[in-house]
Amino acid sequence: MKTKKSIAGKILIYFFLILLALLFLVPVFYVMYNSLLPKRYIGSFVSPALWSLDNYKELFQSIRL
Amino acid sequence: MVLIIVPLQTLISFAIAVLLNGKIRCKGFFRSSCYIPYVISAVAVTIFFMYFFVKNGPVTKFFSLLGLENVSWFASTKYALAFLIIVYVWQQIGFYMVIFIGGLQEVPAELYEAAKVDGAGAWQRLIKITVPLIRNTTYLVLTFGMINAFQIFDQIAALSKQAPLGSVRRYQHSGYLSVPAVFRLYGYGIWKRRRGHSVFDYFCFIRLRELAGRRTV
Repeated sequence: MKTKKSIAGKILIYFFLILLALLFLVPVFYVMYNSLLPKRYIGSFVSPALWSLDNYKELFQSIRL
Repeated sequence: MVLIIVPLQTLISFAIAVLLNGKIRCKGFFRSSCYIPYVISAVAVTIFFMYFFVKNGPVTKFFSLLGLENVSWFASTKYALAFLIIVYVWQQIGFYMVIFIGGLQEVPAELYEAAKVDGAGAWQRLIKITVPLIRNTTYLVLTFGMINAFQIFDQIAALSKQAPLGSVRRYQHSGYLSVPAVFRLYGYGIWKRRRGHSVFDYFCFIRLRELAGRRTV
């Protein structure tokens, strides 16, 4: 009974930790994902075929380092 | 705002630190994932959170299911401050979590073992051993938290163009906007001191130090 309880506790802890990690990581990855999309697709989910580094190219061309 | 932010971030970061200080797998991954937001620029964080909290955005839609209005939070007089608090706390938690973990690692493991032998549960061990023994760390977190919360600026600066009726503008920021452009570069510190809130920060810090000293002696 005690082991069942501890297993359930562990599952709960890992579930909470995974949720927490998602809470912190999803916004960051979402932004990185959007940075790969053409402007008209920002905010939507599109196939990886449409991903490109054009935004980064534009960024580095527009700023003088 | 400081009164909401400081206890909130202290409690959440303490809870996460306690969880991540236990025997769990992938500890490094979970710790890093909590710390990542702290590394990102505050302005960038605010701007990308605006995508989530815009009208019909993913988070706004979720909260509208819970009965809140489906509006752009940062452009609403009702929700702008809540948005600001969420963004700020989300970003700062990682830093305070690291400080708490440092404090928790200083607590001798023998005390927990002895308490276990005496039949103390997890909650009792937390309240009777962990909390008193990391008191100094808690004071440190509260002090840093308060100083940083008083100095909140970047998020508001990034937000203030969208927020209506000065709903997110705090006095540092409104002062910053009112001084001429020349003073914006050099005068911010002087202006801040003139308003006296640095003195208030300092006073709070001294009081906390006194309190910490009194309790530990």
